[in-house]
Amino acid sequence: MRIPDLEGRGDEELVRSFVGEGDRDALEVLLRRHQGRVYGLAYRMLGNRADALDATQEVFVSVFRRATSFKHEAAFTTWLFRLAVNACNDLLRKRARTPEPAESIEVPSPDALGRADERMVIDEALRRLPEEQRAAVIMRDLYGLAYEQIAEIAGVPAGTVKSRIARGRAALAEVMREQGREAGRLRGQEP
Amino acid sequence: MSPHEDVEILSAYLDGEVSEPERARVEAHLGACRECAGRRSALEGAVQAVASLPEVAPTPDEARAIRLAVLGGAPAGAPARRPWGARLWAAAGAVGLLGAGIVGYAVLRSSGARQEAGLAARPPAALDSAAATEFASDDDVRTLLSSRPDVIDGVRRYRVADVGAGQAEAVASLATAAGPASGVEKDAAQTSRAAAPGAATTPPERPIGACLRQVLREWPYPTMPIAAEPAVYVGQEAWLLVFAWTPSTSDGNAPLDRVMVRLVSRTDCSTLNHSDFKP
Repeated sequence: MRIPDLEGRGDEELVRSFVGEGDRDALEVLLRRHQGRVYGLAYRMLGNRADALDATQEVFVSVFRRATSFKHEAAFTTWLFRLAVNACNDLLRKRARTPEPAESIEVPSPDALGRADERMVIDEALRRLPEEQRAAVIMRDLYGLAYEQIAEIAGVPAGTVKSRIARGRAALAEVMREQGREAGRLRGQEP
Repeated sequence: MSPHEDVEILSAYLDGEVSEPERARVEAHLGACRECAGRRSALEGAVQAVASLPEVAPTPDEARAIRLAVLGGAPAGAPARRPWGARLWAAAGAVGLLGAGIVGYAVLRSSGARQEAGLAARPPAALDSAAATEFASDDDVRTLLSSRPDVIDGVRRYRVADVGAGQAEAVASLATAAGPASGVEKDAAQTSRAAAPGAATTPPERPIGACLRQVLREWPYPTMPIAAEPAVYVGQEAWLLVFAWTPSTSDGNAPLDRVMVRLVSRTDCSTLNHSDFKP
């Protein structure tokens, strides 16, 4: 099958082509269509490109090997993101790069940063969230997924998703408040 | 004084994930309570900060590495003749030896910069005889195996109806033909006894027949094994398993006309690489 013809087809149909006929071009279209998002999610979950690459490879190799077990009740993207979140969690456990989730989030010293780069602070603050809060906030606020879909991806009730998002956002908001206060103090302004 | 809104409600309110009565109530409260309005702003700030993070995409090199890991290196629909194809055909001269029953080895290159470094650092294990045949991609697998007489013959030989009775026998005969080294279940104790004193212990190995059976258990379509031999994959000892299969399950006369190739780990039969093609 030619790739341009396949590009118009839906995800579920492409999976069926791959499983039923061994159509590897169908898998290639799925890869091109979704690898960016999976990589982006992995990058935000894991904090660096090398790990994001590993996780993305892992995810799509899983898609390749386990396509026969994709149950067409769920949307393909739900299944795919679930593979992605699982791959990220596995990698986090293996690499043990994130610090223990703390009650409060440590802000990188504003003195060291000089004029605080707000984006760098958010990047770092996101990384320091407990992984389930980090995943929920990323999926909701960066990828715009609905609570229900996040719940399906994470395999938890919607109420748990609601709670994780809320706590993650509150923690980030606290970091930003602290950072704003410190930056203001350094510049000699009123907090 | 009305009670303050809890952070979960405020957060859900921002997403419209509250019931209509709740939404109305929260809105009224926010109009009246400066503290909660402030907390709502702070949450919104966090949402915006995350939403405005740049979406990080794979670089072209990374995208190539991903594709290589999943599909192999050749672009889809590319013609069979490519520069490395010539190199492959030269190596394929050694394939003739395989038909003569001399044990041959296939080395499959994998994905990405990291693994390439690993490949350079770990040359293939020194093995019994013939030249190692080198595959650069899944398309190499396709090209090489589709010219092998045993594969071509295997694809024409079976129909769906043959699978039930014939599969177990085919597994047994291929396992025997692979030779005594691939037919014996080696546990860790045996391999360390066999090794020279002071040598590193090798991990336990599953025999090639066990891995054939495992793949057949997992693959839900009518399938017959047609080749099984030792191989090396990214410096790792593996079994190369080749099957003929068809997705059609209802017609007993349908031929098994597709080829599936699996490189599996000798330690646990897990799939290291999976290719398939229709010759």
